[in-house]
Amino acid sequence: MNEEGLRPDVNSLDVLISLADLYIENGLFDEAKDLLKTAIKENNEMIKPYCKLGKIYISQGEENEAFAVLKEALKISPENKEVNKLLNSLKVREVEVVEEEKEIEKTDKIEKKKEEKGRKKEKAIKLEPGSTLGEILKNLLKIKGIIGAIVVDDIGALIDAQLELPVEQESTGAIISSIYDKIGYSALDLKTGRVSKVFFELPGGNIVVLGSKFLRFIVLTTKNVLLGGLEDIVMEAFSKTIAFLGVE
Amino acid sequence: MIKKIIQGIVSMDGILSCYLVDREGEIVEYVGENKLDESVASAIIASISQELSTQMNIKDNFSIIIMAEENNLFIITQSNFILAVFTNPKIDTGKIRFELRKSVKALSEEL
Repeated sequence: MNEEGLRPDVNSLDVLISLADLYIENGLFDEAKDLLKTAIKENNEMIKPYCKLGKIYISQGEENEAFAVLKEALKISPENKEVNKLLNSLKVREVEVVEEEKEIEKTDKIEKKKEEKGRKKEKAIKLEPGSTLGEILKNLLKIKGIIGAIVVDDIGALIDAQLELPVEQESTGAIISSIYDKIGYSALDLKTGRVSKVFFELPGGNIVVLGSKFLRFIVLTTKNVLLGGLEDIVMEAFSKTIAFLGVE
Repeated sequence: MIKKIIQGIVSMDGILSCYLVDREGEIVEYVGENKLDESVASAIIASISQELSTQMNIKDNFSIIIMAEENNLFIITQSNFILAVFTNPKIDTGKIRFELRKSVKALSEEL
């Protein structure tokens, strides 16, 4: 069966509607739509084909098309209950879609924020694949002015070190750690709160010490280095060290 | 004149108190807010300086910047005195260091 074969009966609206129903039943929606458009063209004062076409558009999610055809129907019969009912269902659906979109947008925003937060956190402690503590410290030594990095635990025992100086790693780490601890206790007596960083400016060079509950991260620099400029780099290496060792 | 220099330091934004103490921890001059007895504070400051001096075998001309939760503490140790400054933690460290160096020079000439 094809549309051309139906041409002789186009003036019979009931026949066209019945055939459109048959197309719909068989899933031939495009054919049904064409048939109904023909019916509207030939019988443009009748509401039935508008409603039928509108319903097909609605069922297929083509809401703009449904809205357009139903508005046309409304012009012909403003009080028609079925047309108004279909239009109202479209409006309700429209509100629902807007609400749905808003909700999705809101959820997306929350998810994005979460992802961003996660990425920031990840960035702060991200380790290069296969990086070891030795490599973290070696990378620090690539920065101009940094001549040594020592990591010791809370009792001053050496964990790792990379030094460009002819000094004994273990005792240097232990001495600096003990000074840091002494400063930490004194700071509590002075009511300044818990110490997190100490900078030593000495005649032969500078020392930066970052401390956590279980770690002392010691960086040795030359005399003329800008301590402020190194702060972020040293902090990042310290975060990576904490992440690598998995300690507080 | 010494008092004036110390007052000048404390007049800077973010500086809470300033101690001038001798290497034995005796207070020479003090200006600022009190969190604890100034003679106790000056003794602690001198002991921090002494610790570094002994452990690292450095006699003088060194400084320590301590960054803590509630306050930062700058300690500058010279051959005959220690200058210590308590600041709020959000202070511009570089600016303070610069001003303290000038003050240390002025104090060295006076002492």
